[in-house]
Amino acid sequence: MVNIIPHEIDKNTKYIIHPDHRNNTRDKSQWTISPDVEIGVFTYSLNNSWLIKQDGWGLYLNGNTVLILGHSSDNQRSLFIARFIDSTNKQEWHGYPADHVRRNSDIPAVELLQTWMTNGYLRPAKVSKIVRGKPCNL
Amino acid sequence: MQPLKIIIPGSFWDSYLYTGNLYLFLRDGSIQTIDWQALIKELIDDPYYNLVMEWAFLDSNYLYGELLKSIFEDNEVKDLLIEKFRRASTKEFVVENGFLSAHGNKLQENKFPFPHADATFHYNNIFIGSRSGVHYASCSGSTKYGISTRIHKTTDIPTHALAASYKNLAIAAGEDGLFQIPVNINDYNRKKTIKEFRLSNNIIDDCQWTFYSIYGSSHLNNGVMASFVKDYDEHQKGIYERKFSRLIFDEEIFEHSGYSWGTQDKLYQSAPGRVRVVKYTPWQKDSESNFTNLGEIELASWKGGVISGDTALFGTVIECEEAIVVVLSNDKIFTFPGEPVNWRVFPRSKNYENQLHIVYEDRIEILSFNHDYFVDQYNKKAGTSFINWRKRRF
Repeated sequence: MVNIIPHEIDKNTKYIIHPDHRNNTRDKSQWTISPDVEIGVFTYSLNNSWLIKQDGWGLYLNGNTVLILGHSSDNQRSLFIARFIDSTNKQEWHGYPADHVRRNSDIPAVELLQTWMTNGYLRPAKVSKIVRGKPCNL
Repeated sequence: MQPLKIIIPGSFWDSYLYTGNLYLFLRDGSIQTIDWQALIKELIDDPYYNLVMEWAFLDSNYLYGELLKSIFEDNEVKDLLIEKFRRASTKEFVVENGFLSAHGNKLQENKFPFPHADATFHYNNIFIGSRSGVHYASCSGSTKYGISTRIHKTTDIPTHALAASYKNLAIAAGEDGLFQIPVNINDYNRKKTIKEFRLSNNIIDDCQWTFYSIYGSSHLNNGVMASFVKDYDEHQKGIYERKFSRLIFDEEIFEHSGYSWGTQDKLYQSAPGRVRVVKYTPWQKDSESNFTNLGEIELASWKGGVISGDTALFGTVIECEEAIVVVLSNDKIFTFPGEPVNWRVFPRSKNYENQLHIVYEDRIEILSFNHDYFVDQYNKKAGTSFINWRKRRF
């Protein structure tokens, strides 16, 4: 049994680094960023209100440039959107690299995609591929 | 022969031509409905281009008519027409900002989920597909705006792509599979339960109609044709029912697996550096002869992997990572470098079947291809065939 220790982000919010997304567990997408960076991506999403109810989304940003943060479970696709889940509804979140080609639930909410498009984080051509479930490279 | 081109500068998401209206989905969250004929007339600054602009952008089906077929056998007439198309193709028809704002009375707020995955029109209704399902509204022209502001939802099926025909919507639903649902607005309005027919459990990201069957495309699983047959009523001539027959996977059709797509009589499958072509003729009684291998089309590797494909009479359009590639029915290849926001063809249209719309970040390019009238429809490798059973104007 792996001991998972929640990281305290603020007084109300905790974040768990889930080992399944770092140890090549079958059918699990894998982070390529360090655990510290993963927490940083989550914190940025928290601060920018990109967490909606129990569903959250994030980007690994260098300025306005989006960077790769993981790969698909079959290692065929680089991934650049983080998905965060508060499955217990107790503000205890965990996350993984979203694979919009494989899972419908890994396609971010349209409102957020529009925000990312307007803010210049994702070009319209990239957003179009995401909503259509098509392979998309940065 | 180069395509004719209309450029509309602006920040668009998608475009669609349907029954005389150009519907523009703007990235600011609005929809503009443009009188397409008025726009074309506005663009013609020299009477020399009257005829070709009409045929190229308003009435493409006209040139497939039997009457003109015999006229085209006269080389002098044919050469004159080709020269007119050639000269028009050297011009760029750019829509000035003033035109859209002058015709902006049909600018409306986009109340559909936005940005959407796909859009289609059927029986004077627009259907919009997104992760949250399929929404629809009337566009019969009886409302103040181009599209009725009364938006309804038909299904919760998460939608990556839509295609309408035979009073049914084909829905590519990603990991939820491939679906068919009936287009019956009266039933929707009466809140009757809509019969959703899951055709395949494969992960399907695109779909098109192959006559009365549906082809589902997949980047992760096998592409699949949901094959239907026409079950004719013994007592009433011409009356039939579409009945599901079986699933036919891409390996059976192409003898290989790989991303594949199909429209009407042409099925395509991408392979490294090339595209395989199979002709589909569902009316052959022997099911093995429904599929005829037509060979391959070479594709330069710099264009990147195949993202999606669709087919019209003028050729097959392949969205690659770095370009849109159009393989014409006369075997010529046009490459439009760059990553588009969206693109579409209108294979089931009667008047716009020769058009390709490509939305870029700062403009829409509306391209009209006009070579196919002179191509042998039976033996062509790229593009669907214009064949006699289609309803003709003459």
